[in-house]
Amino acid sequence: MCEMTQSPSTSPGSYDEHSAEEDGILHSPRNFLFKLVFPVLILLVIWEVVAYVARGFSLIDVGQAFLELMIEGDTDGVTLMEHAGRSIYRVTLGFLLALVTASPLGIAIGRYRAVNDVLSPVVEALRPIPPIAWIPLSILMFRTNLVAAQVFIIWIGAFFPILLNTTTGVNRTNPVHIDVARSFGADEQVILHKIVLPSAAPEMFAGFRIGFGIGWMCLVAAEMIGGGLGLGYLVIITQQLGRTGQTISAMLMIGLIGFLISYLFLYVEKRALRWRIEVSI
Amino acid sequence: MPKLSVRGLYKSYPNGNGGVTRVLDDISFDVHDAEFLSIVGPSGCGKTTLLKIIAGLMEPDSGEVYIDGTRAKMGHSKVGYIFQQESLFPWRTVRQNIEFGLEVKGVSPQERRRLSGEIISLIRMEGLEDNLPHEVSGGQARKTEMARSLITSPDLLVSDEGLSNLDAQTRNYLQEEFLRIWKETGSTILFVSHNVDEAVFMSDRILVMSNIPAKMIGEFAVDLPRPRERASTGCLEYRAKILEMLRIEQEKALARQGG
Ligand SMILES: Nc1ncnc2c1ncn2[C@@H]1O[C@H](COP(=O)(O)OP(=O)(O)OP(=O)(O)O)[C@@H](O)[C@H]1O
Ligand SMILES: [Mg+2]
Repeated sequence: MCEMTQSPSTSPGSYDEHSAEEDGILHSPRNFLFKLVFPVLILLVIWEVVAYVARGFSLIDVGQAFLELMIEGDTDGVTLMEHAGRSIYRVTLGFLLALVTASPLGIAIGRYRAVNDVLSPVVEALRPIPPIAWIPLSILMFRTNLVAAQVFIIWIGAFFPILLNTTTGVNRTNPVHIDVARSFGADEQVILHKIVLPSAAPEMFAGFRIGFGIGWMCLVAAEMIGGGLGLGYLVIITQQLGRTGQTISAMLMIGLIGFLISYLFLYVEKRALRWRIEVSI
Repeated sequence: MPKLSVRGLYKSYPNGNGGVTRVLDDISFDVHDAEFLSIVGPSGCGKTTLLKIIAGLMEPDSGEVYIDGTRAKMGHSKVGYIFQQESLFPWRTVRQNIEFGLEVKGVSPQERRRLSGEIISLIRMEGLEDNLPHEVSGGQARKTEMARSLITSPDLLVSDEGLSNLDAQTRNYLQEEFLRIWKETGSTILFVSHNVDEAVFMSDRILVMSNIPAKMIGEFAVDLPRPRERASTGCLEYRAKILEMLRIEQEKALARQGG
């Protein structure tokens, strides 16, 4: 799940899809149908097919397992929301760590040729390694500190998309904008702050969104290490106990939260980058 | 003392095959206080290169630039620059664009607001302050760039084809605006153009540059009263003389290539 390619693109398509009409999502019958009813129906069909093929389940069974997990919790009495809360906590930690490490590095690689020359090959040689492959080493490195080992996996997953997008964004800085700043006597720090950062912001935001998404996907892998809490852990443990209804419930929750967070990012992006989004339409 | 003195500028660029191409070849000239000086020359003769060196954005191979008698080195901020390409920051509103230079120079927000308000009414863009660059017309964008360069009261304003890429009507209108703002601010202007009509209409003096390696090959003091008529005999005479000089220069360049 974590091995998916990490594209450095801004995916401009995603702006187009969500910008113009998003505000009126429920205001027109067409939007209501196309943006809510149809997607939900398709999702229901997919899960029904999966549940049926896997265990001969119906959605009713899954719904029951879901409610049971929500209210009574798993065999230890831990509810679905508690698992979800713990997962969100770990992913947020890993993501923030990736954000504060990958952004400055991406800016440095994008802006300074020497840094680019030295670090680009290093990055390219590390990037293809799937986060999941780091699990054995992360356990060895962090020994008893399970949370750190898990956060490390998520960090790896989120790091590269943020790094690559930031570099792409910085490279997109218009040289004439730098000349404008220089003509007013701006030093490097001012140029970074007032020209390079805003120029790179759209790509960086996209990088954060993709990075969080991949971090979230690495969750199951990270929680396979153990820890006794978290949605990924729940997927593994319920499957071992043969409670497929609960396994699917946990998966549904992973999908739902990922969806909500992705939308949250898009929402912030759209507000913060009015200049770029309106240009790109 | 001249506002700007350019002394013996040389500049070469590396060319594809490991050698260098000399672009500026011993360029010297002065611009006087409050003068409107235009430079015309063939495309690719090094006008932008010259302006960038004057503005401290590029190092010459040799030669010096003096502003008010003081040597102006790389990174100085005495020159307001209107670039050949569109150069407004797309993420900043008109007002924020205009205030940019003041921010860099650490002027307080209240003072920035006051100065930008003044200059916005000078360029007659009231009501558009909060628009983003893509929400104003090409001509308004040019005026915003002009205001952004002027707001820090630079010693010298350089404009690199500032009025190119506009339709004829907007161009004429902006020429008049440019002259009005020049008068009202008392600025010294170095104006690069490839449009001889425009140079004659606007300038106190016109310098003509040759093809690369570029030298100054002609100088015309435009001795015509203002406001000028574009199609007046006086303007047309200067125009004819300058075009003739450029034509001969073009022939020489072709002959050089042929030989
Ligand atoms: N960075 C560079 N590297 C190599 N050659 C360059 C570079 N910049 C400009 N040149 C060359 O130097 C010459 C002068 O360029 P410059 O941009 O100064 O001309 P210009 O007079 O402004 O042209 P135009 O009227 O088309 O704007 C051109 O022949 C150009 O090809
Ligand atoms: Mg030029």
